[in-house]
Amino acid sequence: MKILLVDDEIELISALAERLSFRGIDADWTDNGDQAIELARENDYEVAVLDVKMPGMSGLELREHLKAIKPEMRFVFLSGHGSEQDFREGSAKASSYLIKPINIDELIERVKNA
Amino acid sequence: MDTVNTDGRERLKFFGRVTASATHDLKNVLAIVNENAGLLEDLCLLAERGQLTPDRLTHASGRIREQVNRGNGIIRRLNDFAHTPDVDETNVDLAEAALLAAGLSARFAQLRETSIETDTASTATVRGSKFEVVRLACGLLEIAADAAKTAGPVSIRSTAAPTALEIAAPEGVSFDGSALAPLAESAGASLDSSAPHHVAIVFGDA
Repeated sequence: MKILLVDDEIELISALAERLSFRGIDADWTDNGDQAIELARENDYEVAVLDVKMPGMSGLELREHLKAIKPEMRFVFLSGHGSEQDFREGSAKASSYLIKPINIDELIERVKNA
Repeated sequence: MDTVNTDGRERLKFFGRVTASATHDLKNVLAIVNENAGLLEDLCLLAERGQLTPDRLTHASGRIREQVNRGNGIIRRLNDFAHTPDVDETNVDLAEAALLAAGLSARFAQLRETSIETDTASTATVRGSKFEVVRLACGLLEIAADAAKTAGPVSIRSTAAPTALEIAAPEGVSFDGSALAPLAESAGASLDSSAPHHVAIVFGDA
């Protein structure tokens, strides 16, 4: 399974990618929306895991760009707080929504069921 | 009465913004610690199988230590800020106020794809409310960051002559801080804009 991780916290996303690799999930990662779009054009990801709040392009905006490139892509959102607004905007269309700090087993379950 | 309520509400909203930003940052710190602690556990499993080089453990534990320092800085700034309304009038060191305002506004700037630089080599002390000085500086930094975006970093500088805090966006970027003139007045200062990318909070005699 190949997935894309996008979060502006590099130390978080790189460690997460390494842990997922130990569990048989091939995860590419980036800290910004523009590079995520490039990666999505060049690769076939089944699922994208996106931070809701990022500099420049938010996770919700990024989802729209990625869906235009790969309509079949599914999404899991990460959020620091899970504010009511985040939840309302994110959960309306997202496959899933997790609050940081995340449990990796729960993330894997959400990714597989997305 | 309405003016008092509105002003009190604005102060509360500022407290809320600062707290929300700091706690969001702390959530990220905890998330990174959590992921790297988990990574250490994974690496220990590899070590049991003899498939591990020690540098991978060092790297993960180093990341945890960095995040502990980052979290400590966030909490220290938040605590400094929480104590700013303790007294209505005190001696306010402008360099300290500049550093605190820059730290509190860092995430706001980051979300707008810019950053904040500080220059506190020169400083002065003014008599007034530290809370209002920091609130005013943060307000101008946010306006400057909104205008700057990817054009480059914004800056805040404390100066002794004049007794001031100077906020600047990159040259070529203009921003208007005039909406904060009443706040400056209540903090015993005035706003002076000598260039479109520059606003100074000028204080009266110390």
